[in-house]
Amino acid sequence: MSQGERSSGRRQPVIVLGTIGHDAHIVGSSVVRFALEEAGFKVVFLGAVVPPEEFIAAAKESAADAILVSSLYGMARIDCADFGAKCEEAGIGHVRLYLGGILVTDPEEWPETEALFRSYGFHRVYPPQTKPNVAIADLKSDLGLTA
Amino acid sequence: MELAIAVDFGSTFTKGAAFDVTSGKLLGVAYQPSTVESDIRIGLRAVLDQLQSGIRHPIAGAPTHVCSSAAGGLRMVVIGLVPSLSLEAAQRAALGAGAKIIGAFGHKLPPMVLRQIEAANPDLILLAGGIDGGDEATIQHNARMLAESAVKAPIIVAGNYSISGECHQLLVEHGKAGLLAPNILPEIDRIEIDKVHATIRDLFVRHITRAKGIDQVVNEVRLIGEIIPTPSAVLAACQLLSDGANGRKGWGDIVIADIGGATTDIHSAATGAPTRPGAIPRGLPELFLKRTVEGDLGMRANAATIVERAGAAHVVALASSLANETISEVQLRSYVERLGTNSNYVPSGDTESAMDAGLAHAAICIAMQRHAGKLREVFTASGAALLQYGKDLSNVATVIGVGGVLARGRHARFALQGVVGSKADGSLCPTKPRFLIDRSYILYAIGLIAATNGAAAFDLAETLLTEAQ
Repeated sequence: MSQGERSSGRRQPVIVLGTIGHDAHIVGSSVVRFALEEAGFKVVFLGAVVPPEEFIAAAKESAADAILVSSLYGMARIDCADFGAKCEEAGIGHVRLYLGGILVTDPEEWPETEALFRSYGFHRVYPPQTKPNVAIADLKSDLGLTA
Repeated sequence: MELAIAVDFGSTFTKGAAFDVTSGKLLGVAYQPSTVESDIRIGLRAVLDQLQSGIRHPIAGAPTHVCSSAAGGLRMVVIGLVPSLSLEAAQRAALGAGAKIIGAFGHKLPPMVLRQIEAANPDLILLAGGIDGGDEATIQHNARMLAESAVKAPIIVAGNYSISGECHQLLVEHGKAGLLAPNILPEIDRIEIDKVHATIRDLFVRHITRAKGIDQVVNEVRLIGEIIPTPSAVLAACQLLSDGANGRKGWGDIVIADIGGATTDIHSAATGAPTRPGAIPRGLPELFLKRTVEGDLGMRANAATIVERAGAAHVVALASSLANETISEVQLRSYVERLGTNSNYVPSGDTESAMDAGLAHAAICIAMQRHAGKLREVFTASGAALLQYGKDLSNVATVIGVGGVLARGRHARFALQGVVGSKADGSLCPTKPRFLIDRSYILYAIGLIAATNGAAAFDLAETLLTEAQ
């Protein structure tokens, strides 16, 4: 059981994590899950083939601090459109949104891809091959968890 | 010879059944008008007298098991956060405990909803919200709203464990009968309802049966076990028949369809695990014993909504296939109108019997489709994938039908075949079950005596539940 407060008395930060859309790739998000748990986060893991509204429902129920979305099949453009706006509408506009994986299949420049997904409301967008510790460091700094 | 008696206090009838638990035989059944509004003992004594008149052995002092759905049954309001998560878990917990849900509310409750709850005057409130370590603000807000309301019902707090204790304390400080139970949704993919069920059962015995005068029964008979809600007795029967007892092999996956005047209830005893290779289960995990209640589908008060939901043309086609004539939509509508105003109406003649069976088939079909899970095919980069929402009941071996239209109607088998439904929408309804009918309305009694005499209860079911004709 990983439930419980940490000794500091501060609520354990909660992260909702899963692979979005019709994407069945679960290995990448599983790796991220273990890295997050190792780093002291409480992870609400949704697995693969998760519709956007399930991320939002789980984030509401768990009062998540951040949502980490994985997409490895090149369809993130469709699945992630207006994700931030949907969160806003659901009353969780304060939740930090992170996205990573193989987001698009066409060979466009990374800055364009990044800009596109930032326009969908994601605070941080990671290119292929990003290591989990990069995102974890960002999370810690974004959530004010660094000493 | 060892006698056992089962009694069901209903809203319209008090029913009784006497058994010899040594031989597993039914000795007699009794029906008397309900006297719950005045003094339940009058109806109870009449039932016992009627039973005694058919049995040579004296029944006074025989062990008696009791259930009740009288005075509205166990009327519950459930409160959660996200409708598809903690609120859904709360509804399943309440239905599984045999309750009738008279209100289900998610998110932070506005004052208007509190006024609604006060007016509805439920027997019990279940307050959930937040996984453990998750959202605290919503359940806290809702506890405060309840604390400051005029609500009189006991309130079970079963949400986020970090804050549930505080919510419970707040309620108690405001003079509410608060009870603390473990979170029904401790994690996003785990439902825990056993402790909440125990708390509900306990409240039902200590408060609700007393408030409704049903506890009087203890002075009249040798009560065995506790008085439970009638739907809990039916669920207990469902479990027994699925599991088997004492060397008797169970029937495996089971569905019970209970069609009444106002509602259609479906019970299933099945894991509901995918039978289609590669199907990925999604949504909240399912409970082995599941009960759903359709408040818009019933043979009398809600006959008109059956026609509305299924479509008049469809019901007319079903009915016409049974009658040796073409029934018109006008005929159906005028019949349904009559049913709506006369809850005790008994169909007469071929045409009305056919229309009754058509209505029942359609209602059972819709209720079963709502109860069963659904498959959805999606196309991924690596080919098609199947997502399963809810229980896969396609391999259910036995379907048992309960209700007047099935027990006494002319086309019971046809009506009950509604469970097979149409596969068009990807519903995972039973496909090739055998169809049994509870002709003597005995399922509640089987569930009641299962607790102490599993083998006898199972033998009774084997003889009394008979093949649908």
